[in-house]
Amino acid sequence: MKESRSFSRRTFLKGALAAGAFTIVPRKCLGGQGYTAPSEEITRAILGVGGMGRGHMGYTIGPLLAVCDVDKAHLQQALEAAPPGVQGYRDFREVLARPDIDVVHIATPPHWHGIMSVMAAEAGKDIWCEKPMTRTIGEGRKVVEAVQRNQRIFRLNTWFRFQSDFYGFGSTVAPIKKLVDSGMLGWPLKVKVSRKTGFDFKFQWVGKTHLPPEPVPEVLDYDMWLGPAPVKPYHPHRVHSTFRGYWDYDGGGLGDMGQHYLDPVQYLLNKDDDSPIYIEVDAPQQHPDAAGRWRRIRMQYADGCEIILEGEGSETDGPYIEGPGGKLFKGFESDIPNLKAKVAQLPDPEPQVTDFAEAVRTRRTFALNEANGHRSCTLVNLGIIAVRLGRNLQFDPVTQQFPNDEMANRLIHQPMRAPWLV
Amino acid sequence: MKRYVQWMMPLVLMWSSSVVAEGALDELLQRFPGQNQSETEHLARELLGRGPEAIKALCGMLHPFSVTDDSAAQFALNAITVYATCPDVAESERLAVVKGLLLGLDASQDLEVKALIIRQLQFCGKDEVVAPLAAYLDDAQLGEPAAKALAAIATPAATRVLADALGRAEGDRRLPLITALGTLLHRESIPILTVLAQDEDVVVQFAASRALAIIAAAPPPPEEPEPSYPTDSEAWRRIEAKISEASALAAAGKKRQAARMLQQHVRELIDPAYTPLRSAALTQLVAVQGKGSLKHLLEAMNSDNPEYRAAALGCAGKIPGRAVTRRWVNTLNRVSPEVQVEIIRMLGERGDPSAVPTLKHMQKNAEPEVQRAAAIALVLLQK
Repeated sequence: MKESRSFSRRTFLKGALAAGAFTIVPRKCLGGQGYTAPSEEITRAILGVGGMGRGHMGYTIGPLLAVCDVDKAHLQQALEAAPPGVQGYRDFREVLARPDIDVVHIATPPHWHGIMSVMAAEAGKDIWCEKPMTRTIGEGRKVVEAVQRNQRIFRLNTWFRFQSDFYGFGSTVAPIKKLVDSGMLGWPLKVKVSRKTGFDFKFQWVGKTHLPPEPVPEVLDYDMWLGPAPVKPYHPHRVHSTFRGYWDYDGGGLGDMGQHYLDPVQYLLNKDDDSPIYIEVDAPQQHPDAAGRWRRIRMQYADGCEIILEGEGSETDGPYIEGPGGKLFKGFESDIPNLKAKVAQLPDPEPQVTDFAEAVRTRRTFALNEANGHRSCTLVNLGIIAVRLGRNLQFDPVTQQFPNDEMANRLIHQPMRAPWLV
Repeated sequence: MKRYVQWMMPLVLMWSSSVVAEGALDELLQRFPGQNQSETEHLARELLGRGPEAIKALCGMLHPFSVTDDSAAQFALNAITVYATCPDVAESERLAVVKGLLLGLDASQDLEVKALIIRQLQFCGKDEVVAPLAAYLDDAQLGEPAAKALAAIATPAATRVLADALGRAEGDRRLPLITALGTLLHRESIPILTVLAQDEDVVVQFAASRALAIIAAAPPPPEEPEPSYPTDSEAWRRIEAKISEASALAAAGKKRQAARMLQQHVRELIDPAYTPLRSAALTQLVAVQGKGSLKHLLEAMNSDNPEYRAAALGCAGKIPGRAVTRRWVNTLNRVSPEVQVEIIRMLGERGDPSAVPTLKHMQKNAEPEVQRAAAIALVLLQK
């Protein structure tokens, strides 16, 4: 038995319990009716200040009061970059126990997103969570329930459905939405997310299948880094900038980029409260621990709309969207004559709440929130499950289960390592 | 006991007919990972064909998280685990994989290997692994993966061993049990969890508090009273014996006599208390009479007993043919939307594309559930 299996789960809890992490009612936890919108600043904390988390320090919705990380080196770097007065923590529950914090940013690896989101909602915090929203479909459902039960505002940190050029496609999403909603392309639609249409699933995020154990660095609380994940001996490739290559924490390039690419597709197809009913996969066999490559995933909705993901960039041609009425290619090229001029005359899409500070102050649902974020993360997780199992799957969008496939369902709800639970 | 013999029999046959060529295992492992689904399944079947002893030997070649690169063995292990869980793989094959994994688990002295095997059983095991896994719940290191596996299996037997183990566990051994019972939303554990939420150990306090919070937040389970069948009654035993007798007659070539007996039970056992026996008689009748039993399956759609209808629809695939599909399609016009949905689901799984025009028509049905079922069935038929 390697030493790393024998963790103590005790050290991290003392501070959190001393702080009364599970009993204090924060100042803005009531929300909803009778809630007084704060005229004062929105105060923030960041959970996880590695690469992604330090990016969150620059978001300017309000003053930063606290940062938290299980790696002392990351924490130190964040504190050095932070304004004076920001406090550092190693246990996120101590942060959640602070009544003076309104919003928590969750920028840890995805295996923590579900737990932190649920506990933050229970503690009365609004939430700004990194993508992918959750590592499993089951955790996603728990986040939706907790956020709505506690009347919190949730923002997922991908934004292409409402701003910025859509990766390599060559335009923003808004004119594509106008085109789709106009009916010019007809129905049902087929969307192809491939290198050719402007999207590249990053295959540097595959895992390594042979990881001889190495000593845990002194700066890292590896037990807390693992959290709900199974105990496996430490190797530097398992953590920090390369964790995405392991099923226990994420889902390879699909987990990393999938929600960025697929959330706008879900929005374009008006599927914010729906999921595909059939998932077809072409991939080599996968390792039990390390995420590997895949070639193609096809997802089909009940109305016939399809999403095709090309994993290896083997496509040489093809439109981004096609329907019975026409095709739209990268760069907004089309077989419909004068399309750009026609689209310019179409009405703009329905306005969305795209200012998170405004959403927090007015208690209005953010454009990309817990509910539609869960559905677009479900697209990612359906793809990951199909790749892991190497087989085609039926899915029921209402029950959010795989009919007649018990193992696939066991990947929807994956029990966590004690004491973590959502 | 009878069920135990039923599932053990294929294993016994497989073991007796397989010759484990351990020396050749190396050569097979080098062919992993499969490059696509069919290649992976082929490799898994080849490994499985060598019997549970070969899987035990494979487990002996695992060295996870060590200086030895065991990637090929882990790919092979994952291939058979995933293969065993394919919905269309025979139960006897899944049990053979489970048996091999249990042999490997028992034989290994390495805790990382044992933990890896338990994680595989978490996906492919059912009630047959509950007792072997329960034996690890008191283990300081393996209690955690064993409890997670049992929480994933989630049957009443798995839940029971977790609850029993929590009742006698001490110290840190309680933690995975608390979390597993929280995962299972086990309301019967609320009293003990309430006590543990006040425990002097802060980690136990936290785990129990989380479990209680999760159970409290979950919607209450639907109040569907468990059907209580008079299985101990004299009448039940007599009918059960008659159905067994009919099966024996059919096996002896007296199919007409067997069919008459079974038809009588199908006609007469309309009291819901005897639904399992009526369903068993219907299933036997289909096995004995084949296409001749179709009218009984179709008549079952008039029953207001969903359990009996499910039994009939479960047999429908055993009577293939376009003419039969047409009879099912015609039934759609005379049943409720609820039964339409059930029949449509069956038509999708039946795999006969002659149902496609009707299913397309049903997509325009006024009932959303019927529309959705038709859409899913069409996808299955056209894939």
